[in-house]
Amino acid sequence: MIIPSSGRNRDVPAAVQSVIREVDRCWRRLGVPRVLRDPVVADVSADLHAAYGEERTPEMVLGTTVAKFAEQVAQENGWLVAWPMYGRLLASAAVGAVGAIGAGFALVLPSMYLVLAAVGHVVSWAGIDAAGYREGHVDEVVVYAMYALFGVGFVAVVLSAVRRGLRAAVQLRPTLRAGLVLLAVSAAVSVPLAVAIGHASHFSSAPLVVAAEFGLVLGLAAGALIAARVWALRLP
Amino acid sequence: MLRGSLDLCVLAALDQRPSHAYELATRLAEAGLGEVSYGTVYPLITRLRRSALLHEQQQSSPVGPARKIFSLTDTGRAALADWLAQWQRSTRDVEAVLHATGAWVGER
Repeated sequence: MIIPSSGRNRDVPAAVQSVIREVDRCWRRLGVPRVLRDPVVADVSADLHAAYGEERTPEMVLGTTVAKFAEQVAQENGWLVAWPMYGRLLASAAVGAVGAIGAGFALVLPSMYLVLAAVGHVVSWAGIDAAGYREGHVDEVVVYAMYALFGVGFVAVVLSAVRRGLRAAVQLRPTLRAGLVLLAVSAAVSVPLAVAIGHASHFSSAPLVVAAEFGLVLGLAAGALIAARVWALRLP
Repeated sequence: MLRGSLDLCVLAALDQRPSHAYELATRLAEAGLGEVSYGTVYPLITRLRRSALLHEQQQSSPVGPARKIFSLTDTGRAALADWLAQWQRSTRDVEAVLHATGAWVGER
């Protein structure tokens, strides 16, 4: 955002800066590119600055809410269109992914150990051979169920983050609907491939192997989200 | 205010003297459109500029940031003449009806 003539920011009153930041934020949420926003932000800022010099606050000058003003200017500029917003889409998804992975390590893994320990106790209490076939089978089911649960949670958190990040975007609902389907498809493809890489590397924890596994899953997920947005923007 | 009449006032004011948006809003208010704010005028100027009726030019200022000065294009001047003629015609017609029906304040 340009607050006019860089270097003069200290001269722009806080009240004007606050309104200008809010106007710019409204346009950014709509996905209006910076190259279009900046000249208008600078112009409005200059006007509000001049008005402030005449002891007129931005609220008095606008005569309406900041959001309404921003929307009207966006409309008259022809900015209320379906901007792709790929950068914001991926940035929001990345925030969600980091949160989901963090929560996964903090909650899902300890829960899994607790559940497995509980299953072990039940198996011992029931007098079943702990090293026997049944226990191994139950363990597998528990582990896969927890991973599946984590996967569902991951997709939900990522889509929630995208929903928040693109809340003012046109065609958001179709984007989210398509994202749900395509993320599931991408996971169905990428997770077995990542597991195959794990098998092939004897479940190595070498940084390169781990990066390849994460890169595969997250890269395909990012591709799925972009594809979902492209599809949503092509809808009439 | 009647829809479109503010467009006419903006074009007339800018034809009289090119201005930046805030100055224009102030001039319109001082000319009698007290309820018209910058928040109304700025989107309107944006629309008129996109319709190629207005031209914008950056003007540097010794005391503040550079400002956009708006002026009429040739198309804008033609639109002003056209809208002014329409306005005069329609007000004349409405006044004629009001006189004929006795509704005109001066007739009561």
